[in-house]
Amino acid sequence: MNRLSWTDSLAAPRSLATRSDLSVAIIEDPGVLDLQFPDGEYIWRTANAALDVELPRDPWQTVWIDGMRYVWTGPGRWRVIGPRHRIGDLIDRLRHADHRGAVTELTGALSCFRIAGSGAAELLMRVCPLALGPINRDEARGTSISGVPALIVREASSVGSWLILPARSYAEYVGLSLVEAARTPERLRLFEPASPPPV
Amino acid sequence: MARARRNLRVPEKEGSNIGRLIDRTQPISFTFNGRAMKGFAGDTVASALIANDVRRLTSSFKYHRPRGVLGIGSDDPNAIVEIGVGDRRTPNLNATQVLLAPDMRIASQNVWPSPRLDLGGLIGRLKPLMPPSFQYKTFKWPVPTWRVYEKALRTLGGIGTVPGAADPDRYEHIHVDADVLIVGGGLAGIAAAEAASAADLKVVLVEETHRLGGIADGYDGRVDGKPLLDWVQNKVRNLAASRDVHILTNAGVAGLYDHGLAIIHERLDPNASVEPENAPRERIWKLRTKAVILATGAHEKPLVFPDNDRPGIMLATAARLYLRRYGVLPGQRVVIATTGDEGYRTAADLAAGGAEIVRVVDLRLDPDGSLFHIMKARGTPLAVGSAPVGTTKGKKGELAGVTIANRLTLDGPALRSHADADTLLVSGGWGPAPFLAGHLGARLVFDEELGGFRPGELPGGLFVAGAANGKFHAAEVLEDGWRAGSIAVEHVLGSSWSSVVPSHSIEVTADDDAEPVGMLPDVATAAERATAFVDLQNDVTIGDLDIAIREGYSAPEHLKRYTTLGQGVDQGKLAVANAAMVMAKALPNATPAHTTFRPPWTPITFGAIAGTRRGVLFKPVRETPLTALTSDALREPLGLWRPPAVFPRPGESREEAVRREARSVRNGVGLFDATLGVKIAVQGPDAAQFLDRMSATNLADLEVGRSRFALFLDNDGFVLEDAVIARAENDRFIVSAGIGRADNLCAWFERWRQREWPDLNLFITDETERWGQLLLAGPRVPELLAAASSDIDIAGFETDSYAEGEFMGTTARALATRYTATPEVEIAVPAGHLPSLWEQITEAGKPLGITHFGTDTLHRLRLEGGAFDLDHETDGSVTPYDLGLGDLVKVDKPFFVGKEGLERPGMTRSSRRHLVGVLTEDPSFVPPPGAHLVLDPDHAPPRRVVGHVTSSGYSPTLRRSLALALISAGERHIGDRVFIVSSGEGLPAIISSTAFFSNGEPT
Repeated sequence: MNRLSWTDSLAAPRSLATRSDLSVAIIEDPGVLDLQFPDGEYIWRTANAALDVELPRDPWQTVWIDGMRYVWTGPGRWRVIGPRHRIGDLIDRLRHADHRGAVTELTGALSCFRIAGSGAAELLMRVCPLALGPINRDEARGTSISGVPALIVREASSVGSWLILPARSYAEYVGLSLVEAARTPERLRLFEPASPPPV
Repeated sequence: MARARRNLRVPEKEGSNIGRLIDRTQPISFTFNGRAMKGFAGDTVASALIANDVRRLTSSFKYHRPRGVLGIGSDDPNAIVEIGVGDRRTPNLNATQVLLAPDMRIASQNVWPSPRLDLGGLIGRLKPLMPPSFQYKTFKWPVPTWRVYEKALRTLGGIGTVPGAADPDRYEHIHVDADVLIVGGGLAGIAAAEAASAADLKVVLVEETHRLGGIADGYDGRVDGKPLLDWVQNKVRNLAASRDVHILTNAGVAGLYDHGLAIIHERLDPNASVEPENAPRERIWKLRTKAVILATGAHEKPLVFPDNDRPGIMLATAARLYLRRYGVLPGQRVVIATTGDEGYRTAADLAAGGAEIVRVVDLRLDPDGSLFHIMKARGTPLAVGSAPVGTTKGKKGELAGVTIANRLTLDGPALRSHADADTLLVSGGWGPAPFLAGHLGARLVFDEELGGFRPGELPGGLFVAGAANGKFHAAEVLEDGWRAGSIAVEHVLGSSWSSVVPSHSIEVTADDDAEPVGMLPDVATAAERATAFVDLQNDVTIGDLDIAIREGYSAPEHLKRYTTLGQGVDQGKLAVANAAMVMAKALPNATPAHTTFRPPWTPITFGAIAGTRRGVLFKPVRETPLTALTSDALREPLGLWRPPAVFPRPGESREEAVRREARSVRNGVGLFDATLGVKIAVQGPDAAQFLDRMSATNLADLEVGRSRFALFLDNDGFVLEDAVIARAENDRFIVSAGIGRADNLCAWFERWRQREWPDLNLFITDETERWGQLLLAGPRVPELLAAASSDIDIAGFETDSYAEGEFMGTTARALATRYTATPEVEIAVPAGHLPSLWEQITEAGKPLGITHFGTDTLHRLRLEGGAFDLDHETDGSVTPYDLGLGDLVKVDKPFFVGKEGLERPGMTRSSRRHLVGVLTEDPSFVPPPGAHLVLDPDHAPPRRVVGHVTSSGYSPTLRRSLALALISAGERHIGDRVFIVSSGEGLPAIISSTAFFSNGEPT
């Protein structure tokens, strides 16, 4: 028997839906690291030193450095998301640090969709119950997509760009619901000047 | 002979305000009950039907009385029709709310067998036999005739029929946030939107019709020097241009809920889209808002008198609006009965439109408004201090005349007169309509002077404005709207907000208040009361209310249920005020009250409710990485998963496949997708202590590299979960539990960790989705794995061994388990590697006869081994002792979750049900799960049930049926006879131990 090969969720990467103002795609399964550290300045600095990054301390803030995204997911909890081949290096760095917490690799647990374009927010409004307005660039939220728990990240792109990360087992369902949500051709034009309705 | 249809469309007149919403250059063809008709762009279905002199639209629900259009809005109880054909046929649409479209096919409902001949009308003659709630007292005897009754009731009951084909249209839901929701786009709503947006708040203004302005177009006058309608148009233009206001038309609020949630139902036209096949037909807005303003206006109240339901009877303001908006007259010979000035306003308009005003009947004894005097001066025939006391009908049940009597003396034929008329317009005054407040639990207060309900105490964040708040004059409405908007701003901002109330010069005739005198006088006979309809949609009369009150149902909720008042799709919008007045008269000591209004406020389609949740999106389905590779399997739902149940070969039945798979596993090697199994990492210096506290089983002495089967109990001592706990490192454990339970078990762990033991130093991580997992079972597993490159010595595994390392080039875990009573090992690799592992193992196993097997076979193998299944053998009331697993409970541990509960005396009493085996005397008979067990099948009922079958199946290994059962004191009755009740018979069986099979041999 040979070395095992990797199969990405939904045969990623590929485009799932495209419109003039919107694209929906599934990207390669990301590498994922779950970090849980006890509270405290010392632990936080220790972890930062090992990772060579300043882990965000404000709720749902993210830091994007060198292709890796560090996401605050709770007090003393972070998710690190990036290319799969980079995760092992982070684990090694943390192995020898006095973080007194738990570092768990979860690569393969999440699938990752990207919706981008000026119509991205409106698509998200069809599948996500959260108020999107208060979510700034480089912020994340734990929420649901069509009833499925998921992490969403608003990327820093000037054009709307969001990552949606549900558990891998929900990839097919989330993909189908994003494609369905992308079908509506006309924009809502919420709070934009419009022609008055008849009186 | 059919009556010749008249054209009731008023010709266009330059400079007039008649027909302003229709475009006479765009005629539209449509059919009604198969008859070709014509309307214009801008018509509603109702206005087009009226223009074509359609008097009878449908039949009423209970008595099949002919009914026509009564109103012009969603409050109309009669104008319920079916539109469309085939898969686009939609029943129960309100004709007043649907815009006419080319080639529309419209049909009456509740007519049987056809619209032309409704034999259901014969039911009306049986009215004396059908008092309120007769249906609860009849159709019971003789019992066998129920089948006949049921068929008839199903044919005659209900309104509309469900389309037979699947709905091809799209529907969607959308989540939106705003600061203020304003319900109603009339003057009050527009003023409120102005006020709220002036504070830069985000405002959503929702209007259920396709236009704003409410009924402002029913009045003449000027505001700030401009014609009223022009002034409104200017305001709407400003709102539409604002970046703070979003206007939704053709959208109704279906419901208001806690925490600022509003469900809005928007009707769209896919044909107006550039991609009709992708555009939604309807959209549900789930709007979260900080303040809601109800500017929902008021309903014009019908009058209640004998035979007040005939086709041709319409609300006065509605008739005026039909003329102004669509250029249609309701009829040609018109009687108007009014309790206020609206009737006169309508008389003036209809006269200008060419109708003959036969009489204006004013129920007031001494009207003195300017409109009264104007119409009197014009020579309009008037009857002051009079009331309609009956109507006569034509051949098809339509209105033919009105009987009018003087109000002061209503008996005596000399004081009655009759007017031939094809139309009776009625106006009982305005009843505020803030009923949506009821969705949030607000109770409205009955105003006797108004004869309607006003807002009472409102929950925080909810405000009412305009006519819905009892303000009817234009100046009051505008001011009240602005006030409500300002208060809403303060509520949202949490601070005072100073705004200057705009002042307007308003020149719109103010009406005298209408008198709440629309009720039948007390001298009415029982027969007259029995045809005086209060709730038109459900055929509820004053006589019905009399009977209900006489029988002791005096509370509004009881009256509602006893008579069906307000239970129609209109929720009694036009009935609630009149019903309160009837009840106030009959029950003078009671406070008039209304029933509970519930969402949806107006009917919405099932398609809208479902949105995109249909077909493959009906509900989330979870898949393992192997779904694509196991497409030959028969699947079974397990929570949100649909794992393979069995892999039948061509020509094999499900049971045959299970037996084949089980034999293959017992004799060779089987491969099972175990990815669904829960995997939770518990790690940290206190991980061991934590798990030892959580589990009833002793885990303190578990060695690294070993695993142990353990039980978790709930607080009451009942079995909550079973799991295999593996010690990967000194302070890292892997908990492997049942399929699909990760979320529950993680939550259970976190609850105890955070609430009870926050000082423990440990971390809990759900790793379930990270790992793809295979179960290899059977005596030839070591042979198969010999070819795999691995630094895990799986071949050297003993039962309960656990190891981590590398397997075929990737990180892996291996656990020797005993799910199936055969040698077996679980191998877990990162999820993305699982398909490759499955394929390579399958290929390598072919010479060994490897078989894929599913959950059906797994259960059968476990049954053979006497292993319990949490879903089958436990129900939340089963203890470890009941399952014969008392040795898994470490009773001398100082604490474990559930210990106290387990120590209660009742938990160990000998009569409790124990899990035992059941071997049927006929080895081929497989008792169904759930079958009862009795000691004496011949005992007359009721027989004492001593237990029930929990799992069963045919064992291909032992060549006989096996069953597990929970039986009272079962452990003491091993070897005894018991009878399985199946299909009325008692089939004999022997109670046995659950150890049916061990090391390949029957025990």
